Amino acid sequence: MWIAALVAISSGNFAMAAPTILDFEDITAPATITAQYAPRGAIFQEAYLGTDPNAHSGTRVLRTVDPSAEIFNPVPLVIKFTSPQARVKLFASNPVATANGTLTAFDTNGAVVATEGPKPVAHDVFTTVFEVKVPIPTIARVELQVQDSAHQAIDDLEFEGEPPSPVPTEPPVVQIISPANGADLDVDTIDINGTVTGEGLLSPVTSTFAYKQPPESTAPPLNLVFDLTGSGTTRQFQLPGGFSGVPMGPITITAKAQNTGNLTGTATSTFNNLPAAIRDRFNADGGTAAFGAFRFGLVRGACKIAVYEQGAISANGGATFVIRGQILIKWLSLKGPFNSETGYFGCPLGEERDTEVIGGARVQDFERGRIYGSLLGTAPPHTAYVPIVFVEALNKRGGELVNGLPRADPSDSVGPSQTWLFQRFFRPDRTDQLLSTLEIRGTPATLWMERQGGNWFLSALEPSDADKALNKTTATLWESFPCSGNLGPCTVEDEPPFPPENISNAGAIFCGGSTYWPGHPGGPPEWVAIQSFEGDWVATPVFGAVISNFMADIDNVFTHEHTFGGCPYCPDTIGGATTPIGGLCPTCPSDYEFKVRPIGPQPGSFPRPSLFGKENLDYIKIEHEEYYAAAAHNFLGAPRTGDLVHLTGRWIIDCGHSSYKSELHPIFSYATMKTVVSETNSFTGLEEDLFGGIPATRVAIWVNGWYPGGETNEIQFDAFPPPRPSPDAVLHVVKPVDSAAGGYRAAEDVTMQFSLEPVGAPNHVHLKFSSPRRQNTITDAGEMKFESGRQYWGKWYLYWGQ
Amino acid sequence: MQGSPVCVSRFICFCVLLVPLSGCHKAVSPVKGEPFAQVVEVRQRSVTEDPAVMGNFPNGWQMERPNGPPMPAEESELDEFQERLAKIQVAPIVLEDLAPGATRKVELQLGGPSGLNGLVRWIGTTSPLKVTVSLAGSALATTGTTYHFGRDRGGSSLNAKTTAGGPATISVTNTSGVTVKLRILFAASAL
Repeated sequence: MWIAALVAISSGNFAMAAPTILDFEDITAPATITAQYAPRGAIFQEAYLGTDPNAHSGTRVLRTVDPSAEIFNPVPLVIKFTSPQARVKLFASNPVATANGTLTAFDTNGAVVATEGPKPVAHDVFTTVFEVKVPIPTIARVELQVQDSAHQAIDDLEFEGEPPSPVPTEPPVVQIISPANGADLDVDTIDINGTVTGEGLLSPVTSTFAYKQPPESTAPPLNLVFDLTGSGTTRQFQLPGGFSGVPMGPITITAKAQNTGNLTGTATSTFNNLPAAIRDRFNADGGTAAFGAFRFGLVRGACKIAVYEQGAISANGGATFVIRGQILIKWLSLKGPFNSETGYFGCPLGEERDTEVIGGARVQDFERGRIYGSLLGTAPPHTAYVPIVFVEALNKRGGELVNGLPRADPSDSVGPSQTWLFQRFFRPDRTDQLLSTLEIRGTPATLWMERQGGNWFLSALEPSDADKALNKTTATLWESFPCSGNLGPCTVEDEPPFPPENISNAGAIFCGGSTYWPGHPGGPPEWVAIQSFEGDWVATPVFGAVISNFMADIDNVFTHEHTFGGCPYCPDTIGGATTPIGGLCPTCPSDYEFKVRPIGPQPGSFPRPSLFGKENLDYIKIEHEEYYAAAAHNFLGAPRTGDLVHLTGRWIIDCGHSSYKSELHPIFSYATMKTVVSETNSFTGLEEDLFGGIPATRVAIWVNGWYPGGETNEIQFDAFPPPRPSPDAVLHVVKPVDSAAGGYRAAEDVTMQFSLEPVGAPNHVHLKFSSPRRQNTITDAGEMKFESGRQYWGKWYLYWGQ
Repeated sequence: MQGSPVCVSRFICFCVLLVPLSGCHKAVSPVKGEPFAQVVEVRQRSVTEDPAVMGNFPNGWQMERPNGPPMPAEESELDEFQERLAKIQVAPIVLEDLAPGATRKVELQLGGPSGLNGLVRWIGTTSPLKVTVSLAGSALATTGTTYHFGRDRGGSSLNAKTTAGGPATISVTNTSGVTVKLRILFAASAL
């Protein structure tokens, strides 16, 4: 009291109150301190009241913020006074390290009226004293700032000046003007503003922005802070620029304001924000009775999705789509690679529909893929999804009609198997077919599409009943596409148009516009090579499907060595003369023939547009003398309708007919491919399982005596197993041993090399055959003579095991 | 999966399974450095069992009709051949043995200028025989384009053109030291 009286005397006309000391021991810690000390004249900006064993007095101190808060910019500790002060004193501390600090005093206009410091502020102890004084009480605010710190703390705050202003006894009245309570809105941005009325109003106004979020979301309601503007007893608050990204559904804004009486006023505004298109669709499709209550909303670019208890509605522009039932459940369950993103599969691209496949299911397309429901033939809950990288590939290759439906969700085996994404597909209407497989595998990542051949591609590839009875079905067609990542995207080109352009002027180019017959002076040979440089000996490759096979009914004995019976027009062709023993006539047949519909690129046709001659527009015919092939046909089986086949041979135009068709005549090699489960036991004649009932691709290979060999004339092709059944299945290969005791050998004058490819994630065998150059004789009539001493034959089996 | 013992045990399983393939008795070859593949080798049929590879051709050009499917009607080339046959005159075909030093002739009576094609095939030697095409005794072509393959097969093709009609002849003389089986085809096409 003595000191206070002295100051009052020296201050002339000012009524000086006794010094006020806040030791912060009167409020339970921890606590956020704003206006609790307003009745005693000090207001803080959400300072943090905590305990400290080194407090200057007692155990409690006041910090700028909670010590656990991560703040990367310096923040001062601000103290406002409800009345002008002449002196302010405090004991400061700084956590972690000693650093320079400054206490600055401001008047009501924000002008600096006094400072102390900078000077070192001891860390962790409250021994550093700051004190600012002015002759006349003009200090409205002080700020303590320790260099680079947001965590400075004080104790025993002492201030002296005019007595505290009286504090209001009524809470402030808060009113939210915008958004209006109860409004139905369709907005992305809203203006938030309102007023606060009362005495001793404190800025800022705090608000919460509460909306419905996905159930797994742990995000708290959004908090917003508004500065109060204006003066007097009614002031305004507003969010500059409005609030962008307004969520969907019912939203409640709660605004709170405080006054110096430490009293809080509150207002709320609840509005419903939904795109008009969703609102309309919701009402049109049955409203709450059909959809249930609103759960949460999602925004994906221009698309918005409102999720209800029993359905979801998306809107993108004016288009709306509904997600329901099993598909909705599946959609909600797909949360991305980290299982944290509700709605990961994105917006629907259309309504739910029936699948195109007979006996199929329900399906709906989304941005990230396709979801199937009611999938009969699959495990409960009879739903599955197909990632977009597979959907796009399947759509490029015939869609659901061809490729069927997913058997289950995709899986993987990301260890040594390098299977990044794996999924199988089935045709409900074709349970006899092997499941197809799509997988992304290996490094670099490659998308493989593995589909057993069938009538989805060519009717000729449908196995005959006899084949089915013997467990022989069509081999598998494999395609590969490069991917830019392990989960895609992958580049799947459109299938090239088929048939490609043919060699329409083949007769003029290769046959001089004429045709062959015996004794035709200046006429062409019966067969003329298409390739220009040593074309008779170029091993032109053809890969495709055998669409028919038969024995020739007539041939030209002038250009064939061996013949078999059934010679047409005999003996008329020799003037009715007596035929030699065996009934030999110029028309006796010699050849085994089959037709191949090429599949995929036709690299052997370069620089011609395709393998096709003048009148064979979508197939190429293969002819060779049966005599030389008889043993191979007996051991390996002749190429037959329904086989996939890789061939090489002498690519020619048949100048014997004005149709000028192209042929491989003769062939240098064939590799027929079939899916087999069993083979015929040569001793018992019965079918016996090969690999425990596991389907295998049988590749029957014949390289023959017409093959001229030579550098850059190797025979190369890939052999694939059936579709891979699981993401960690291992390739098994059974092949003929190259040589063995007793003079056994699989090859004569042919070198066979093979490799398992791709390295690290093998799924097929690459085979290469080569021989020394040997240019077989071509007669002046165009016949290519067979030569002995050269052959490879054998049956390879490829299948998947563990 | 990797390692001999397991592979061997799997091999045993394969041997049982692969009986239909023919004698299975070859060891397993694990793929070096490739854990995701396994290769098994089995003995199948030796290429030496194929007479065509070994050059063991029978003494003739005829074979039994194979069991393959007949040519479908829509594939038949009979009409196209008939059109071709209408353009040529073919001599009765010779199919017989020819002793060393002997000569066999075939004649066609030409009505006018013609193209001639003679095709001679033989079994017994890879050496070319003497072949001549002539018109009314005047040689038009000799030897022709010859070929041979296998142990004892050969042939010759001759083409000639006449400017007039008359008796055209192809003659073959066995200049080898062994009896050969001979097949002569001789055709003419009017110019």
